[in-house]
Amino acid sequence: MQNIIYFFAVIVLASGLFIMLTSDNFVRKIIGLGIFQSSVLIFYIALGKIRNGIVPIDICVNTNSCSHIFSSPLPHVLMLTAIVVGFATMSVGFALIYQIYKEYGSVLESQITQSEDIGE
Amino acid sequence: MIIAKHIPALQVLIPFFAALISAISFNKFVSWLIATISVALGFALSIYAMNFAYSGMTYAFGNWSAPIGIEYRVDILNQPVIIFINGVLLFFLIFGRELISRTITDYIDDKKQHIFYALLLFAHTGYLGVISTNDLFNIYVFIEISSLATYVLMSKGGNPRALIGAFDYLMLGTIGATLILIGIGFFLALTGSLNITDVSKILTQHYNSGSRIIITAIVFFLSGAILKMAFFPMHFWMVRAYSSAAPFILTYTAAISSIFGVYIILRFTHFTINGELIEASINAILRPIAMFTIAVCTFLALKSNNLKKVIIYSTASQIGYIFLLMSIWSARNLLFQLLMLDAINKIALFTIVAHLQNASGSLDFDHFSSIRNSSLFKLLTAFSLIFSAGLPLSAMFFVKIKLFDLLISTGLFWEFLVVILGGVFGMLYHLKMSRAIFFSPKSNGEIEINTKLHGLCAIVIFQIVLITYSQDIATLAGHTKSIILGGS
Repeated sequence: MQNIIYFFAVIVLASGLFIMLTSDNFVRKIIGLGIFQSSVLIFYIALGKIRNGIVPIDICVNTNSCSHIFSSPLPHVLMLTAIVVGFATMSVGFALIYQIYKEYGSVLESQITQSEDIGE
Repeated sequence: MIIAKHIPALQVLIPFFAALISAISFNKFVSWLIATISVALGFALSIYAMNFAYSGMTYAFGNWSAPIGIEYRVDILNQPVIIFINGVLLFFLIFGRELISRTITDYIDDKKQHIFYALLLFAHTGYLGVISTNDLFNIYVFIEISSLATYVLMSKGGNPRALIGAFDYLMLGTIGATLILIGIGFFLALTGSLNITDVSKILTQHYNSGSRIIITAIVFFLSGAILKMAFFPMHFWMVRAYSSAAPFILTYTAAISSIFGVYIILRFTHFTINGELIEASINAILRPIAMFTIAVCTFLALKSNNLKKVIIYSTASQIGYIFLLMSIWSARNLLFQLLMLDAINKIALFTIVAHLQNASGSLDFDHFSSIRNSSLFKLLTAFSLIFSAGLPLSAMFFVKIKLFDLLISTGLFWEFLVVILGGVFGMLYHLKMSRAIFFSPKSNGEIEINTKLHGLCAIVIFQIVLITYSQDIATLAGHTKSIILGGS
């Protein structure tokens, strides 16, 4: 049962990918992208946690004979960076969508392709 | 010298701070000047750093030494690539000012034009960072920095379709980077480290256990890298994004992206994991796809009806050649020669397209306008097409001859046939391009090239120099690398 969190991450990853690849609306595609990237956060944070592990703070007087087990803080720190990267990607995506909307008056991929075909 | 110790970090930090300064300069010329000075400085530093590359040099950020802190390194694999990338951007900035302003920044709001150079420098920082770093997570972060800047660069220009292309690129690029991140996560789970040297040391203990985590990690990382590189089954985004982007920005992105992707893959397969372990599977999977790519993409280039599309499919087919060479062990010292020559050819071709598009000529072969009164432009175009087609006496010709020789002597006849087929298609589409450029009827309208040609002049002169010195440069760029990679 301890690996069930990874299956959860895979489900989130797959649903994000599905939303991204099948939707017609650009905004929904970006939402799918956000879900897809969140699955990585779950995956990494699950890696850092171990059973009975506590928060990694310096509570032992003598570090050589410490009875506590600590969770690894490294994946959390890495994911802080990944969250920032994901946020930046979403912002660039929305900025592009805004420009597309100003240019074509629509955020639906099918409508835009149609208007281009007529234009040609 | 105290500076010399910090060179690995300075190479990345100089363009980064220059990007920040040029973003707040609020003047197009000042921001161009800052970009040019910083890139020239970076170029000089990277040439100086070649002195340390043979012995290898590491730099610990904030004095946190290797497995804990982030480590940058300068060695014979990455330093020539850094010099090359700096050189390409320097060329782009010095000779391309007129074309940048006519084909790209004129379409941007007056108050925001200086941001273009800041974005260019951010993308450059990202590329240099991936190449300099020796830390897996840093690779991901810098890939994202360079990609985010590149998405915006690709979306600019006169054609509104570039926005859709850039959006596609954003989707696929992010999927690729996320797959790389998942691969890195598996390595972290297995080894508890992110430093490439440390990871490869710890992994040697795990190879015999037959752990499936290693295979999963390798598959995720490589599929992400291949997706970012636009290798054949995943090349659609590249065709869409490139065909609508402003042609002059492609001289920078198209020239760099494939050499950058090859670098990531080589750094991964030869330094992080033991490359010999996956060699057989790479040969079994990648080589047939590479052969298929060469055949299909050169055919599509021949069939397409637009000058820019031909060049884009030609870029896609070169990726096939690159993977073919990567999968043949003894061909690796040709790999970097081919990459460099191809990048320079693509710079020349996309510059020609930028000149033509700026003269508002149509790029469709059916309505290709005839060019009036620019004999220098025609001469330079003729040279570029000859070099790009690999006709005798061009540097590409010698590389192709060596490749044929090698394929026959190792008994790879199917590969030989495919490369010959690709070569024939290549000749034919170059013929098609030259027929359109030189012999279009005047009834299609006439255009005049009124932009300065010194950039094209410089690149053609550089190509002529390459013919004489190609052996020396190959020794620097290819041969020593193949020694470090363990090839012959």
